[in-house]
Amino acid sequence: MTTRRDTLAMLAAGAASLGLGRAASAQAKGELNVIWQAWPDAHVTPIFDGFKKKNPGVTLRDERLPFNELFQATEVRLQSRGPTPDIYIADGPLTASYAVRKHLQELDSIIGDLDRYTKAARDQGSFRGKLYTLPLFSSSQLLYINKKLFAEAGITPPPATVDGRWTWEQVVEAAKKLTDRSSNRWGLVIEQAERPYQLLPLAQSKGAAVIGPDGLTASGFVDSAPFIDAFRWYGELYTKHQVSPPNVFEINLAQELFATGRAAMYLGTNSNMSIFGSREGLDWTVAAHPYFSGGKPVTPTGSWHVGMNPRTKQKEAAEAFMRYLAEPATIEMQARARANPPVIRSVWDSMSDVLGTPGWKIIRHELDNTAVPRPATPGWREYEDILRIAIREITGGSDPAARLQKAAKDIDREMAKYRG
Amino acid sequence: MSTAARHHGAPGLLARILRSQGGLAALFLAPALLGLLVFRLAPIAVAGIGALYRENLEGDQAFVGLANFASLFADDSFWHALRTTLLFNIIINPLQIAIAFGMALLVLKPGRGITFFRAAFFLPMTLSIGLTAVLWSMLLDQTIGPVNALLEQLGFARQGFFRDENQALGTAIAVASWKGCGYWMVFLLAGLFGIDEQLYEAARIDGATAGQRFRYVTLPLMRRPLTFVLIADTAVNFLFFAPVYIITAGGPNGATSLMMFKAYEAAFTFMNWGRSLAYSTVILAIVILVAIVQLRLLRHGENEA
Amino acid sequence: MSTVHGSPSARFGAGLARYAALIAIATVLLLPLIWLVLSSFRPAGEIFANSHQFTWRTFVPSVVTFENYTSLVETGFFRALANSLFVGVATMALGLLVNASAGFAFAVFEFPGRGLLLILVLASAMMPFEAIVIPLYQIIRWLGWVDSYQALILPEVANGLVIFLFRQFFVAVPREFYEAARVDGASWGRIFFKIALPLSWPVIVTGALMQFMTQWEAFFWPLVAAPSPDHTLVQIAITRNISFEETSWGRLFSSTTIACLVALVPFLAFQRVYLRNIASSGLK
Repeated sequence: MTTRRDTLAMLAAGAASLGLGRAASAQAKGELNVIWQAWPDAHVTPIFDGFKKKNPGVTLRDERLPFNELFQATEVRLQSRGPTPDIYIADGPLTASYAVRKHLQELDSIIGDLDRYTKAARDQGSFRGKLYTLPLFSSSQLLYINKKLFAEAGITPPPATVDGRWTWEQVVEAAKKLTDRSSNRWGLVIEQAERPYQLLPLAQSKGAAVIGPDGLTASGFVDSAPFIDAFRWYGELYTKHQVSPPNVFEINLAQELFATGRAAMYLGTNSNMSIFGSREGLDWTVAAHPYFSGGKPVTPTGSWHVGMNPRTKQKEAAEAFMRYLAEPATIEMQARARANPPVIRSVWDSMSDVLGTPGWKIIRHELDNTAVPRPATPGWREYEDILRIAIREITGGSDPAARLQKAAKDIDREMAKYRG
Repeated sequence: MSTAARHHGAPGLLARILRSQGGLAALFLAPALLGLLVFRLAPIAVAGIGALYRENLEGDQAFVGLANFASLFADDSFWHALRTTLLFNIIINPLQIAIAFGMALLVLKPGRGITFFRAAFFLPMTLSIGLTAVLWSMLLDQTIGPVNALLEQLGFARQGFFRDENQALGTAIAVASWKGCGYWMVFLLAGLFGIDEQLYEAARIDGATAGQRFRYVTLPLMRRPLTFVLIADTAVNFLFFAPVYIITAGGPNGATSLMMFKAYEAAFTFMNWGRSLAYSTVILAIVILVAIVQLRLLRHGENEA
Repeated sequence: MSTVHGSPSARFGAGLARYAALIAIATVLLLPLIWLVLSSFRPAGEIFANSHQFTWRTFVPSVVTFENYTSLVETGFFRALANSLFVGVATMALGLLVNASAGFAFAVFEFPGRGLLLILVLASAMMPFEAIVIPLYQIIRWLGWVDSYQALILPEVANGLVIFLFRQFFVAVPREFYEAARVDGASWGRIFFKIALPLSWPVIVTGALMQFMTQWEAFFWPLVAAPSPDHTLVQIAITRNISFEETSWGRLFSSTTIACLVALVPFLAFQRVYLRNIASSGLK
């Protein structure tokens, strides 16, 4: 027996489904100006083509900017506060910076169901509890092992499982035996040897908080005892133990050290699996990211996100593009084109054919358990750059305590503008 | 124009203006000045005025008078950057011009393979400054770079170059000169080509030595090309910063902290456009001042030649 | 040719010293580029394999591949190369006319505020670009030129330093030279085009080279103003081989090699013009 209320509810549901049907069939129209990064064509074009196929009414004017000055060129366009670009790619931790400066459209209402994303990826795209950028893919770190150099030194490398994770103390012991400076061979090479992305987990493994709860305070955090401890240990890799090559801050040169057999251990991002895999004669394997004995395992994560300009005059088309980027199928296409950890949970299962290797198994564990995204602060660029130079100078022999205290002061000074 | 056509023999006002020196000058200058006004001077004015404002996060501007400059002048790192920039320029400008002049003299006279050497000297200029920085940062790398491999082979210790506090600024000067000298050589070469061979011949007949011919024939006739190169080179080098941005980030320990880098860093790393524009305005003021001094110093006797 | 003085042995010694200096300088300038060019023929794994020791292997590839060149075809590099050539040549042609006439005016006409205006013109080339890029972008947007060839070419046509270059040349020409033509009844326009411009060919050549090189090197402005595939310029296309996670060294080197060699063409043309003009007419 149907009551009047039920009937009304059914009618409403019917109307809603009709409305939905219309919305789905009504094509978005217009021209979208999209800033993307200049990755190889094969990693980018399929994503754009997929959107064009679904939205024939929208023309895409895509610009593929080289990484080198992607940020600066985007910044000029945004700071001139016009309607374009409609959509732009952004480094994940810059979400807060763009959001407070009103360069990002809030996305909660456009996307809906945010639970599809992994927690770390969603956190990285959020600021003050709202989603502002859509994660495109993520990243994780592995310890790459040169099997030949380990065999020659008679050392058993750590296994390619999470359970066999080495402590940093074990890593240094082995690295001492594996280093031969006279023939330019290094025990341990850190891929991003000065970048907070890679190195904040050292401090976090010792229990340090890397920024104040307000996201704007460095004093008391960047110069806290565990933070200083971690970076004293890090500096000693270069100064005391001399198991790591000094002054290799370019990622590309660090990669070459491992790829040409001059690094026994290499702490680097997941994408090296495909880079090293293409190098002939390189006998390598992977292990899990190390941690400090007595501390906890913490690993880096986060990568590129996509934002929508709130001043866009192509709202409908831009929203359609954002919704397209949030679909599992798009994220899977991206992950298949470019081997990076997917940011949507269900894609891990639909891609189990690819993601079943030991390296990917470790990464999945890290992302679910140990990964900590970079802090959500509007001053990330300032924080990152000041800390980066401090770390650089610590590897060159500067006193960690004094140098980090200075960095904390400098960061706080630049953060003042966000305190209002 | 039409007025002038109608009143034959009695030129109209417009024609009179056009025939006056000022009017003629305006006519010849108009296209260039229009371009400079729209694409350079107006943006410079906007930037100069912007230096008097502080922008809040949402892009609203608040007039702060000279506060941006005041906080700049109160900052030790500004004075350090100023000293570094002046030191850099006091060394690099004479050095580049001397080398470029030497190179121009070497390739001036025809000879076997001289076209090859001319092209070889110019070739580094065809590499953009960004790629120059990328290339040299690889070549000079302590661990993987061939230059240090060569030093080691020859029995020297590996050097830090860009990574050594005492070598970084010198390395930046060397790399900038590697690229720049061949470029400035071109302008000096053009000047040298223009000197009449008969003047040298006359000097030789008078018994002048090679040194005397250079001092009393070449140098005076090269004053204008040299003035141009000096002013243009100075302008370029005051704005130079790509390798600092790409390789040293102003370090180690501030050794390469050039003002131009600080301006760039303030804008794109510290999101502080007020500070950045203040830096840029100070740079502009210094370069103009230096250019005026250079013009004055090289002017006397300009109308002889 | 002029008579040469000095004993034959002294002449030989001077020639030897000259060539020793030429070779020494050329070695320093070219070795890095030779390394770059030869590395562009190496497979990816080879480029840094021997760079930590300095031997012939540092330069000579043990395996030669052309893949770094052939694979450029599909990256849009050659389109970018053509764009840069077009933008460079267009800027050069327009710029010469505009800047030469301005330089002429500064040198020949007397008018109030001339000195000040010259300083202003020079100043236009002395402001850090980062400071003017946002207002410049806003002007281009207001003109409706975003992502067009105009946006790449027109802001670079008028050039303070090139104006100054021409001014330095024209100021050296005795005024009587022009006055004589005035007496013959020639208009100033005619004097500029028929007398001054042909006379100034040495500066036209260097000025042209200067404007071409400015555009050839252009990176940040094209990235901001016109980065779509249709308008990409060569330095941007080269830099696309460097990404945060991975650099395609082979293609970086091969595209750089091509760009350098192409940019050498105007210089070779420059020095040919000089040789021809000096040989045929002699320069006064």
